[in-house]
Amino acid sequence: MIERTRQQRDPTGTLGSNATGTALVVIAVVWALVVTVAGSIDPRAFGLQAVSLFLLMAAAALFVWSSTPFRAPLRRSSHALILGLAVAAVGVSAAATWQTSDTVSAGWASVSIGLFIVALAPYRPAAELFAFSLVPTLVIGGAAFLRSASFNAGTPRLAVVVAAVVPLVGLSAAATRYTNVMLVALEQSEERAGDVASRREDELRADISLAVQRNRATILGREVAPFFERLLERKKLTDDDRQTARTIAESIRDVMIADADRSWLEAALLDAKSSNGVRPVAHDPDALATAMDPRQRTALRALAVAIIEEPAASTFSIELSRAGDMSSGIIRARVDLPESVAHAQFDPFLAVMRIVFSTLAVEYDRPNMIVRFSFVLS
Amino acid sequence: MTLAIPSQLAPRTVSRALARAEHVTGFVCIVGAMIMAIAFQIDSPDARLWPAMLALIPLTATLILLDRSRTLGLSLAYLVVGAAAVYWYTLVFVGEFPLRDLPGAFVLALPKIAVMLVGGSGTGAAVGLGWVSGGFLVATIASSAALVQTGVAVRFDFVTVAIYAVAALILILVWLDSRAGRRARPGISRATSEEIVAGIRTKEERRSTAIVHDTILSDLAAIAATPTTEIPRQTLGDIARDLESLHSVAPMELPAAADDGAAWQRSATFRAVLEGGVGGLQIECTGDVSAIGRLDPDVEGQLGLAVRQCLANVLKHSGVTEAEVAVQSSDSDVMVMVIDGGVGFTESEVAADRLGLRTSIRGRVADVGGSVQLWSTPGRGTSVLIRVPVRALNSEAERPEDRT
Repeated sequence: MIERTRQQRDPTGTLGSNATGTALVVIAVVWALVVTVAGSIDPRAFGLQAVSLFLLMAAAALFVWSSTPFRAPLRRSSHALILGLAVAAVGVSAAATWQTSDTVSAGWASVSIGLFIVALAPYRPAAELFAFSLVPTLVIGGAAFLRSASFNAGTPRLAVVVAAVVPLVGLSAAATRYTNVMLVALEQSEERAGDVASRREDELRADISLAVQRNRATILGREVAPFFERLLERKKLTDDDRQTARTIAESIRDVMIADADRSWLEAALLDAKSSNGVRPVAHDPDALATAMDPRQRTALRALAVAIIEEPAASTFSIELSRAGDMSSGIIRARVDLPESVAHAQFDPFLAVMRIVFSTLAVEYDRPNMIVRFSFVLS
Repeated sequence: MTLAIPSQLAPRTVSRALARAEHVTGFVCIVGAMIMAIAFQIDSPDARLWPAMLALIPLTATLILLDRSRTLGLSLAYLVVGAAAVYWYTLVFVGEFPLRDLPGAFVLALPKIAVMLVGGSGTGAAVGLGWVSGGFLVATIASSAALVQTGVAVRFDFVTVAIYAVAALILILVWLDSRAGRRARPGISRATSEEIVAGIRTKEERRSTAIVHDTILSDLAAIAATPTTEIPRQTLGDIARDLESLHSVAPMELPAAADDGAAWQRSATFRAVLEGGVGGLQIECTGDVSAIGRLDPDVEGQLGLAVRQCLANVLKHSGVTEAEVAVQSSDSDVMVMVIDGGVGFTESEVAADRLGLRTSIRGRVADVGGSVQLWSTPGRGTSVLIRVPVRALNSEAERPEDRT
């Protein structure tokens, strides 16, 4: 099921989110480390502070691992686990300094957790980001409120709580709103694209219909028209005419069966314009490609065209086979590019494939490229 | 459903989203500053903090206006109002409380952060960074002026500087992030367009194939099967119609019968039944035939052509001259079953001659979002169930193209 997340609705727009998010969670960890080292004054708390930092680093590592485009999509469970580890880090840090006047956890918790939420924003729905952010807000605000009775004499408790949670609330609100605005823009863009496509379809339909008709008329006109004209003129039938009728019918039937047998996949590959003479081969005897949804067909077409039209490509084949209620596909191509260039060239398309297909695995051993994917047969 | 925001819209969208994210964060800071002021006021009833609270009201109003309309004028107005608000807020607070009593200088930093996150007009990373830097400078100058006026030494404001650094970093990273997908966007857009064209082309080819099958191929078969030297008048008429279609530049269409009577009698399905009768079949229509009237004309037209082909198959292949057309309906579908008690067949064994079933029945029905089920047992007859939706599909681009 497609969730209302930026990663799943706009896969190309979130291709760089992994790098951005990694930078943000690293900053969050470094900030916590700096504040802890600079602010800790009670040596007895060092052990728990180390545990706290370890938990925060584990949360960061989990984010980096689960947010790569090739493990997409990042699910709610990963979101909960990442944020849970980060909140646990805050809890341990607060517990470590509960009996002291250290303000270590208050110093980093709000900003660091807020940065984690910003990093997670491209991957999860806005409502979930907001809902999940309430947990650290309550933990940090609650801890600040309870501790303020002992260690913040002279400052109103409410002011202490506000100071503790404002960075987190501000960053969470920013992440939530940014996500929501981007998704609304995407949905509006889809709506406009739908209107344009609908208008364009009407315009195209007439042209394509005419082209198809002319093509058919050319094929049929060569044999059928002269034969029919002769019959209309003579109004008599001979055995030769009956035989001619059978022969023509058979040849037309053969052409039309060949057309009908040409799968969507073969037709799609014909649209690619290779500059290197690549002759794409499609093997889809059961026409399994017809079970793909529009997003899957679009993503596969985009990848196929990108590979076939790459000047360094020399072969391209795609094969679909049935495996229970799934279909598995395998693309084999020879693309003689340095690995880094191949990644730069095709990773964006592969990342989109990863979002729309059930599974995706890629092997590149220059010049051989193998892409395996699967989808559910509806 | 698309897979990407169009390239030309992406920078504007990112700028707008970033500005709105800044605005909501600014709003949180203003609310935080207001709660701080209220908390201090409750804690120190003798202090006069209401002017500080008052300073935040025009700042909030301008922020709301800016969020609704991100123009240059409102962006500059927000900076001007923001500078005045920060100056006044700082002046009031520092006049009432020693700076050392304020928690982590956060009280004074919050309105400054709100002004810094101006999220002003324009598009692009540099523009966004420019507004944040401008907001930071304006807020810092206003705050410093207030401190100088109250005789308090101006100190390095770590909180505001740290938040400025974080905001600038996030802006830069988000812009870098948004550029990462640039390489794939044109490819995805092209694939989307080609999918639309391919969908139309497939449908038109299938429609054309079905019509050729139902007209020219049927007429050639009729010619081959005519035992006499005289060509029947009906066949000559059909040949003339085929020739006219071949010479015409307009897409081929099947001839339509005259419309009269109720929905059922006007329907293409009814015409198919009549044509089957003319061909020599005795056809019994059962069930709720009026349900045909619930279908969209396009869907009904395709259903009628599919039924016509089913009846033609009965006539040609079943070895019997009786057939039943049963119509049933549900809230969402109309089902038509064509039943004969003839010789039956095994579908896989007629693969070479499956064009009529593929294009004239299955293909047509699939094009309007319907489905076809076939049960046939050699020696026991054949039943074809055609199910079509009451509401037509809006776009064939949303459907997988079934070419089989």
